[in-house]
Amino acid sequence: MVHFQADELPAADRAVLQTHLDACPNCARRLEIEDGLLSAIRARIARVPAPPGLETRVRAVLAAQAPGAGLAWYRRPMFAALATAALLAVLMLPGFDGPVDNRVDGVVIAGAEVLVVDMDCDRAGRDLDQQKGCDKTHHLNALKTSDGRYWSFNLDRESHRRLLVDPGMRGHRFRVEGKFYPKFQTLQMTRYTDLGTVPL
Amino acid sequence: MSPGPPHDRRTEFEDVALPFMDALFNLALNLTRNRKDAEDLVQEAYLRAYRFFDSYQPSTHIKAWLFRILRNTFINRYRAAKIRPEEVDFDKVEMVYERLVDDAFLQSRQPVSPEQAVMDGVLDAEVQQAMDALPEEYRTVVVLALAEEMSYKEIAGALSIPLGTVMSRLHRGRKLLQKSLLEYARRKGIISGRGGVKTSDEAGT
Repeated sequence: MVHFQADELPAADRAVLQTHLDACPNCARRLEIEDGLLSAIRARIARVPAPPGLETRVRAVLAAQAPGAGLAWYRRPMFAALATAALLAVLMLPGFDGPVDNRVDGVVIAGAEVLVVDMDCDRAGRDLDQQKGCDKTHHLNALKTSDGRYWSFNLDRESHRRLLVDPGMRGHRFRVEGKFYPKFQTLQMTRYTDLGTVPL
Repeated sequence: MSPGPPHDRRTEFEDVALPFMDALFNLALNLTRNRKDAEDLVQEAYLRAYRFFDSYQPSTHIKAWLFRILRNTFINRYRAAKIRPEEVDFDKVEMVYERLVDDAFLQSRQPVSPEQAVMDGVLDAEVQQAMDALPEEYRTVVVLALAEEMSYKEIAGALSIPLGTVMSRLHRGRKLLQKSLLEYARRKGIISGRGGVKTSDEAGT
């Protein structure tokens, strides 16, 4: 029942349980009680923001850290230059048709086009129709660029969260704005435009 | 692009990691149950994350990675002195919980909203007390699932535990929490141990 409420049951199991709930008033009442208690807890559970001075304090501690004993191989100047050149080359491929502003703290993108995929299914070679029908609720969406790489994205906005978990978004092409962080394979997305299901 | 001196590395880390400070602090507060300790824990977790920034695996979401570091820091720093893990007789918890639900709601002659009973009768501080009373393993999963609204997979990644363990801990954590809240409501007379729910007048509120 807990997993049914959390929407974490596979579709087949969910359908079986739903059929039973439709026919069994006792279990339906039980679910209603559990739903009510869960809603009450969600509403009352504390979400305490960090105190105002904590960020300043953390930044100060980080700034006080002595420089590392040595740079990792991928941070050495030659590799960094090559990696940057390679990244920019990728971003200039068809599908990346927006202006690129290269900055030290992330690559700012305005207008890059990406495809929403089920990363696990896509890696397994399943096509987009199969990905849309995938009933594995623990499979997460990712953004795929025209070079075949996958990018996760920030979850700090509720509207972006839907992109992560909604199978219906798979196959949609987006024009995105934000910052790419190649090391993290992450896009800090600030805006996106849904271009529909036209393939890349 | 510049070669990546320490200042740039720090800027990159701060841009990616600091937006999750509220979420980290909330979890830290639930773990330590103390604002001062929670602040120290968040600071230490960020420091560790920064030191191990090079070992971050891109397949893991940064937020989940930070949660994992924070929890490991908590375990190393705050639980080192604990000799035995907290033990819960979960069969007994289930039995008591089922009886509470049965008495208060299933046997009730009038339709009763458990949500309203808890919302009306239980104070925020009592919800927090019930959270604080959860064993740490359950509390962490409950916070990530209910406050952070993370999926089972995200939680499993954040805590480096199997999906089945997430499911089990969430199930048990929720039962413990719900049992505590119903007991508060019963002690305050909002719900009856014999069946039915008292009105506000009967409960003396």
